[in-house]
Formats: sequence, C-alpha cells, structure tokens
Amino acid sequence: MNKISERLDQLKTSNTTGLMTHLVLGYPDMPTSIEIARTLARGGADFLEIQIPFSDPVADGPTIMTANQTALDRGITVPECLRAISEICEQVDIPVLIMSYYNLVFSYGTAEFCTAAQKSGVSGLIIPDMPIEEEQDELLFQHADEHDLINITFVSPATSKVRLEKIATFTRGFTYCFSTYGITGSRTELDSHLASYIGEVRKHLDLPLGIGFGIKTPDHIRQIGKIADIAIVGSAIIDQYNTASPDHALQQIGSYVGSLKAATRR
Amino acid sequence: MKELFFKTSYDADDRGHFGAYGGRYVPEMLMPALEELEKAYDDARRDPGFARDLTDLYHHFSGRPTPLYHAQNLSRQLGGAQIFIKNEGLNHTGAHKINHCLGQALLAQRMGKKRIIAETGAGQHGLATATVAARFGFECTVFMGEVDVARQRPNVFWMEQLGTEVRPVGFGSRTLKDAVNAALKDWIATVETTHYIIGSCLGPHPYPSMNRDFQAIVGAEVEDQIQDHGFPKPDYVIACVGGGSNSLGIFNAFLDDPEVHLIGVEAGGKGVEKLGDHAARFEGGRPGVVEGYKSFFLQDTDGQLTHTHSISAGLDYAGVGPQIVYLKDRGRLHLTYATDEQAIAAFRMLASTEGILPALESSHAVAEAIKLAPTLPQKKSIVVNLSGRGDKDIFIVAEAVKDSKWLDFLQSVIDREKQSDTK
Repeated sequence: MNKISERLDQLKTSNTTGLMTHLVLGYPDMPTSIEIARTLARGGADFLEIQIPFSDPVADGPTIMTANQTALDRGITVPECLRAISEICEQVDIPVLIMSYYNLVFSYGTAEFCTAAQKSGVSGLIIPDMPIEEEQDELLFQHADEHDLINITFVSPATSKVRLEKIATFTRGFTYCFSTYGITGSRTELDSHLASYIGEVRKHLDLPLGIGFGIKTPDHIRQIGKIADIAIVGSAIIDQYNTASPDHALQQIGSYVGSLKAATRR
Repeated sequence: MKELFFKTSYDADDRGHFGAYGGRYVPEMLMPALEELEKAYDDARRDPGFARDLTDLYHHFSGRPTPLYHAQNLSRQLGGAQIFIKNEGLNHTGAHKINHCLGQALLAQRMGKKRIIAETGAGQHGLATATVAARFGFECTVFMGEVDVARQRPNVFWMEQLGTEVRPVGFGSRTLKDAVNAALKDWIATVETTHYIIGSCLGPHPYPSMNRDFQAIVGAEVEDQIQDHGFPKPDYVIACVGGGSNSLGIFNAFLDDPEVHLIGVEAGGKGVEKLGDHAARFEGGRPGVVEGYKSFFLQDTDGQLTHTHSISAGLDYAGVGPQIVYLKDRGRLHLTYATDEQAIAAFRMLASTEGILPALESSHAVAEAIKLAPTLPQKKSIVVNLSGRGDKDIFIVAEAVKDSKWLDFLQSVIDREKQSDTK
C-alpha cells in the first residue's frame, strides 16, 4: 500500500488533522535543507512536500520563488536533488512527495522521472502545472501509477462542478485544494468562503482533502481540521527560517512545527 | 479581402494543440479563467458585430491598412529580388502590437472585465496595452523586467503618461520571461475582474490562436496589396520571430499557399554558439513546458530556462509560440537568425536607402532580406514585415553606432537638470 494512503488511514483512525510541511531543496543550501526535512519530520509532520527548484515557478509566491532562485544560483541540479531526496527518505518515516514544475519532469523523461522518484523512496508527486487535460499526451498520472506514486490533483475556489467531477476520476490519495484565488504566501486570515467552497468540493469528491496556500498559524490548522483532512504549510516555514538567527533556525522551525502539530488534535 | 477570422490547415485542435505543441499547462487556479476566455473568444469570433467593431478600430484608431511599400532603392542597391516593406511601424503606437491589443480589449469589454494587465519586453506591447486601456477606460498594470525598464525608459514614460502602472519585476533574469511570470501571478489572484492581455502568440490556449487571429489582418492586407504592385502573390515573406505575433500575423494568410516561402528570423545576439548569448530557440533550444504551454525553449540539461540575449528587447525571450514550432516541424516555415551586429547594419542600410527607421526587432527581418535578395532574380518579390518603427530604440542604436554627440547631448540634459535644481 502506498505510504500516503497508509498515513491517511492512520489519521482517520486517530481523528487528527494531517500536517503536510514544505521545503525547497537547496535552500538556504543543500545540507541545511536536508536538516530542515529531518526537523519537520521530527516535529510531527505527517507528509513532507519537497520542492525541486525551478527557474519559472508560476504557482509560487515571492518567498518560495526567491528560495528557488537562491538554490538555482548555487548551481543545484535535478540529479543532486534526487540523491538528496533519497537520503531524506532513508532518514524519515513519513511519506515524501516531490513538488516541482512539469518542465523538469518532462525534461528528465516522464517515465524515467517516476522510476527515479520511486527508487528514491518517494510516495507522491505534486506538479501544479500538469493539469488532467494534458494527461492523454503526457501520461504522468499513468506513469506515476505504474510506479506506485500518487500524482496529486488540485482544485481551486474557481473550479467548476463539471471540472470537479473530472478531477475526481483522476484523484488518488487526496486532492490539494487552493485556499483562495491567490498564490502561495502567508496571510493572517483564512478566506471567509473557505468552508462553503470546501463543502461544495466534498459533494463531488469523496476523498480526503488537503488545504494549502496561506496556512500559517495553529488557529488556521484548527479551522482546517473542521472541514478538511490535511493542512498544508509552505512559505510560512521558509519565513520561520528567514526570520530566525542562523544558529537557531532549525530549532525555531522545530518548535514552530510542534505548535502546528499540537493544533491537529480534533 | 479575406474575412477577418479565417481557418487554415495549420490551426490548433480543440484543446489548443498544434501537433505536439501548445496546450494549456497551467495551475488549476487559472483553468476556469482560460475556459471562460476560450468560450468568450469562440462566441466573439462568430459574431459579425465583433468583427465589425474590431475592423472599425483597426481603421479609425490604429490607421490600418498599413502600406506595403516597394523599397526600390534598397532593391536596386542589392541588385536582386524586389523588396517590399509591410510597414506596421505606421500603426498607432508604432508597432503591430496594437492589433492584438485592440482585439483583446474589445473581448475584455465583452466579458465585463474592469482591469487589464500585461507583460512587456521591449515595451511595445505594454505601450499598446496602456493605449487601449486608456481608450476603453480599463484600469491597467503592466509588468516589465527591471532590465527592460532600464533599457526602454521612453516606453515606460509613455505608459505612465497613459495612466498605466508599470510594475518593474526584480526577480529571475529581470526580463520578459519574469514579467510573464509576474503577470500570471497577478492574474491568478485577480481573475474575476481582470483580463490578461498576453503580448504574443504564446502562453496557454487560447492565446496562441487568438492573438494570431487578431494579427492575421497583416497578411490579409499584404495578399491584396502585393497585387497592386503587379505580383499575384509574394515569393518570400520574412518576419522576425520573438514569440510569434508579427510573424504569424503576416504568415497566416499564406500558410495554405505553398508557393509562398515563409522565413522566420530569430535573434542571434552575440552569436548562437553559446547558450545565454542569443535568443534563437531553434539554435540550441529543445521542447519544454513552461509558462503554460509546450514549445521550444532555451534551457539547460535539467530544464531550467537559461538567460537569453538580444539587442532587441522584443526578441529577448527563451520561448517561442507553439504554432511556430509546428510550422517548422511540418516544413512550412524556414527559420534562421540574425546577430545583433547584422541587425544594426540592416537598420542603418534601410534608414539610409529608404528613409525608414525600423525597430531593432524588425531589423532582424530586414537583415535576412538583405542576405536573400541578391541571390534571387529581379522578378521575384520579398515581403518583409516591418513590425515596428525604430523611434523607441534611439538610446540603444545611438550606443551601438557609438555616436559621441548623442552622449554629449545626454550629458547636457543632465547638467541642465542639475543647474536648475541648484537655482
């Protein structure tokens, strides 16, 4: 059984909200980003979303974009990232998902990338710019499936009912729901329409839902816990790193994740 | 003349695929907006009223038809084929970009949008967008890489005078690709009220097809105009290729006429040997999926877009419209390149022989005509799409031709400012 599905079952049994945390490989540098991965896992993350940096990350906000650029400026490569991911997978127990943009997968070879990801111990892929409409040419879902990887699907508040039903047929594991129209980045308030939007999604998608974009505080996690299955925290973790003094950055990330984890008990 | 909107056997399929290229590779947040746009465009294209309104704007706002001018001095000097200049530089705002901006503005109005955004490289598309925003009463933001803001200050100034907010983009290589990125992000967050006027025949479906259709008037005019010069059809049509808007605009009317040779000219920059020195996607680029569409991109082995270089900001881009790749794959389009140096030489030659100052983008097409004409007999015809006029490039050209009096002039302007400050 895929580790993502296993974890989702455990979460259901224990009545807790899942916590997915994100990091950009190679930011601020490769060894530190690997340390961050371990710190997040130790701090109680249920899923680890590891981003392979890309030059044109269209779905990311300024914080993650800058982290991507910093890593690339250091000359980070995809093969290096795959090696690092393999190292991380050996050291953590929780399911790891690779987040990146489709050009890197396409460039590597979609089937070859899935083979490499599986070999590294990865359980899923998060590729925001590879919509279901292009599957018939790209076969990303198919190759992922053949390698026991879950290729995550997405919905947004603007997604139509017709699309929701189409997306449902592609979904395994969980669906990544964008909390607002906006792009990633921390904000203080969750969208007031979130509950009704997620309610609408539920009608068409009878599968676990993760909510990401702008998730930052324990209170956000508690709000998400009432309506969805997984809270996804991205740029807020990089913000933690960026605002901490270098000596205490890992410690600060650890206690931050701990505080989020504490809010996952329902 | 042809109908305003016409089909060719090189059109995209229903999903916006030109063979293996094109498509709609965007995050889910953008999907509904693109579906809405596609539907609105399909409706508009079938509505004779829309074609009538657009034609009216082409004629009375932009000044179409633009002339097809027989460059007899240049032709004589080169001693070969007859060169004709399709002078898109005589459009309102000085380039062909106004064609698709008028089309999209009319469409945005039809869709009830209140605000428009755009990305720009050379500033020509931004200026055309700012112009239509003022004309239609839209709020307008134009995204522009910091490098381009620095080298195209006059256009930035004009956009601001037209009431547009120019937002400099300070990440990545700070050129056109980063401006596209920033504009897409804005659109993701504002999609309900905002229409994004993409400035070329690229990006996710339906933009490549829609912008081509709004530009197709260029080739349709040429088809008629060349007959006035005694040629049933042009033997060669040459256009510079950045994203593909001016080239597809002039090519589209001739795609199903195999006797008309089509030549696209990319930016060879400092030479095409090294990635980063040029913007010629067919000299070292390969298939990729970036910024919402599948096409040819200049990228490294991992698939990261590489920096590009061209003396002309409008051609300085790592990607190219998907239909261009498709035309090349099907053997319908021949692609070549001109270097910065060749473009400047062509600029000077056209200026001195014909009294026409071409934009540096268009100078690349002129450079190819200068190469090609002497190899052809005099009874053959070459149509060059002069996509824009050169006024905007005054600073770059002055620098490239090392005009010391120009520098003296700039210094004197600064000195004068300083003096008046101290008074």
